[in-house]
Amino acid sequence: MKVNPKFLIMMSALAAGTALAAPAPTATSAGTTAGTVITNTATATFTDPSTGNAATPVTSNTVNTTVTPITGFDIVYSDSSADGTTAAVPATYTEYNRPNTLAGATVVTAYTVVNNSNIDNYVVNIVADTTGTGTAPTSVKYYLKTDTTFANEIFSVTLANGGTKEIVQVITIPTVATAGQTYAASPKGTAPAVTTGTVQFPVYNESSNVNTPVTPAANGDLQFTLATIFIPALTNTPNPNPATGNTVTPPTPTTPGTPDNPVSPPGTPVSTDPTKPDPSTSGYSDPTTPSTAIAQNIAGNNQIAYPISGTTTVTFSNVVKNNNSTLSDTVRLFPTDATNNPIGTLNTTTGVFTLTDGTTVRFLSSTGTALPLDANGYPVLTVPSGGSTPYRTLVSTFPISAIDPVPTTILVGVSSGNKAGAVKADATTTDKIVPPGLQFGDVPNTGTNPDGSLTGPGGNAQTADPSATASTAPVTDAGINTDRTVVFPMIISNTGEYNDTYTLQSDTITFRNKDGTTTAVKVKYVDATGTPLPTNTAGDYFTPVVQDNTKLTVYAVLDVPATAAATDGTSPDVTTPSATADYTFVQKATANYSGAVVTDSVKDQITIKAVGSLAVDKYSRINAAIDATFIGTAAAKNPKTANPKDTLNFAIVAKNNYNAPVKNFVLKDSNSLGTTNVYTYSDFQSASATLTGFGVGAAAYFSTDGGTTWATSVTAASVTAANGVWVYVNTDGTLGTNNAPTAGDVVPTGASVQLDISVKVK
Amino acid sequence: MKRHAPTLLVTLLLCGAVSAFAQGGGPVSLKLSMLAVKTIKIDGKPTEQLLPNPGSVNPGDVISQVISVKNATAKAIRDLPVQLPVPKNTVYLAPEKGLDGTRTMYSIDGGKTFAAAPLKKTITVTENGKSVQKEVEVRPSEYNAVRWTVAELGPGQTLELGYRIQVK
Repeated sequence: MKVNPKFLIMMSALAAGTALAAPAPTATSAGTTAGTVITNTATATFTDPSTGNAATPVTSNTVNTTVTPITGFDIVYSDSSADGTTAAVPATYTEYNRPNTLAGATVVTAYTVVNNSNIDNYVVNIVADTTGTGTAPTSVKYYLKTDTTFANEIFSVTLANGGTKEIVQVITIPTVATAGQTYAASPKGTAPAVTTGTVQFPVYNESSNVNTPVTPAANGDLQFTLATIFIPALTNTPNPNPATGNTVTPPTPTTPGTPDNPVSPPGTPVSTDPTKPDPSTSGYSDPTTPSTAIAQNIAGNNQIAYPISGTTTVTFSNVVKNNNSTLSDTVRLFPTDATNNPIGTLNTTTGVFTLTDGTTVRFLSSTGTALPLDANGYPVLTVPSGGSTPYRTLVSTFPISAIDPVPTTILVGVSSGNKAGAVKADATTTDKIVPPGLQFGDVPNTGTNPDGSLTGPGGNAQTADPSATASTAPVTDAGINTDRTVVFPMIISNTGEYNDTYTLQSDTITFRNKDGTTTAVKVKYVDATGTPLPTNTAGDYFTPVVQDNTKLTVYAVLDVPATAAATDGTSPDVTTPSATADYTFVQKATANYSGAVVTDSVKDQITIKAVGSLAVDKYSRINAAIDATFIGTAAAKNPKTANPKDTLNFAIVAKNNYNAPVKNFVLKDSNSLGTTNVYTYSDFQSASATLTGFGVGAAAYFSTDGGTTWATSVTAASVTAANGVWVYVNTDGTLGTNNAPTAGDVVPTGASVQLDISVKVK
Repeated sequence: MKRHAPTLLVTLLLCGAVSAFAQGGGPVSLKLSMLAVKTIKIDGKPTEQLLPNPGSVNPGDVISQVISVKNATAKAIRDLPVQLPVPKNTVYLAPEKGLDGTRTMYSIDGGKTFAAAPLKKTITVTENGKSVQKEVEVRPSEYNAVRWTVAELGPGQTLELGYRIQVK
């Protein structure tokens, strides 16, 4: 009689109703061992009536019959899980469905061969069935369970009537197995026929098995073990809770910044581009360089560092999470690219990567200590199953071009240590550095980049006409040189990779006035509409936000005082500047966030135009000296009538009304037009000169011979009608030939020479 | 009066022709038959069929064992005990149908002692942690020998006795 053992076991487990471990499989023998002879003999004792002998024994004939063989066996899961599985072993079969199998591993699972026949020494041959395996295993072998060192591979077991044998199946996974591959195998039994000897029986295959009465065997009644190769389940991200480093609290921006709070967050105005977050979003400061703010875009899996000018190292906080709930993972860290392969040159002693552009990348623990290195020099990090381990990414010597810096982007890769094959990133995160950059200078002659070598627009100093009006707003046109306002268009070029605002130092120019006093004027900065930029309490101006890689034109503007003395066009920034040199001023732009400072390398220059006139007035008076009061009267210049022997006094007053000294000044009492010379009709009496507004040591020299010779006084005898009296003022202390004027003799601004001549009418 | 039965050895020495009293010959002869009991359907009705001398049997098969007892003497024999063990690898099922069942006794100690049904035995059980002796009834499947006592077998008479067993 044959009863399916598994059915009974399942039934008993259900009846028990508790979650006890299933009992080990047992065999259900078909009955008395095949070949057994059943034999019997009857006996009796009687009293022979003929002899009277009692208890005479009698035996009957002996009868025999032989028990026939009944075939049957099964190979089952040793934990009594229902067989009849395919390569797709249910996940609930925790013993026989093995995820997280590593490449090169051996998968050992337990099976039991049960003898359901009545045959003693029943032989069952065992082979591996790999139908449906995703990838062929390297090998599948069987051993007795007691052979714990797998010393003797078996190909069959021999069972006693009603007996079982415990075996193990060993699947060897190839060392090059890749993530997600599946390997499946089942033992399959065949009990061969015996056709000789006293007990003979046919072959019996496992697929003949009937699991429960009436129900046909499913899937050949096989019992698979399934191994799935470990699939790395890693994420690599910014660390949203860096243990060190302060949370960034950027200054609150007002539009576009108040005069005393010009510092702007790099992203201002607030960036809506999720690839360019700014520190006004959540972030932290670099734990080793707190002046560097690092903004995190958790959703985009990147973070951006905003180092200030001069920073050459950035330390990012990152974290690796191991989403595999079973295995710890010792991962490798390295810089990578879109291929997911490591890039750069690895120093296997220090674990430092050097990229082709010279950037170095090093990975440290979250507290900044060195990480252990594996046999190939890769830094490694152990992440517990289901857990996270933070780390730091230290990026140094990244390129910062002096002309046009570009971002440095490091793609950090993490490679699972539980997989076979080459190091390759299973997850990546992005750490990006946006360096600052600044150029500042005049609008160039060609192109658009500022040129600090120019002294003004077009490479020329700006000229102001102090006699003209000041320009009205918008005062941004530097081309006009005819008014009293000078304009220098300047370019602030934010060559860096993040937005910033800039403070412009306002220099003060002290102008020399023509009257010898000075007037101080502060340089003003205006925008393209002519509106002055906002100023801070120090009086410096600051710009609105200049976005990364864009330029802003501002205008340095100044109204020259109307009283300014002319300048001579020479630069004051020489070793021995002239007394009437042009004016220059300092222009300095300072980035408010990055701290970069650029000064206009060649100062811009202002030339004051010479304006004004030389006024010459002639006065005459009869028989009285000409004094300042007389000069002021209306009749002073009128023609006079003189009588013979009247004393005729003339005063010729020449005044320098220019804003510049006048050179080569000679005042003459002769008319180049050749009108009547007074000396024809009168006798020279005397001549003198009065100097006003000249410096100490200035002296008048007279000439009566048409400028050939000069002397400090005039003799009457020398005066001729033809030449008259000339006078010049020696101011430089140097006399020419015959006391002639020299080039250094100047009539200062506002100075006057009065030549008084007295004659007597003949 | 019953004479005391001599030992078998003495009987053997005295009666060299014991075998003459075996099957077929002698004043009393026993003929034992083994028949396989099969149930077949005749006209839709299950019907029993007995097949003598099965060469082989399957575990679970039912076998009928029948002894034919013959009195070859001219006188009646009284109080004749006939004994048939339950063979190894089988279990006692029931008396064979329609045969004489008088004075049948059973043994559970391999034929040493016999008693009429129902037999009793004492077993030890644990109740409330204490060992207790209990008397229980013996099941027929525990019998390992059967003895009939034929009250009287007339001269020349043949009597059939038997019981059924099942192959384990």
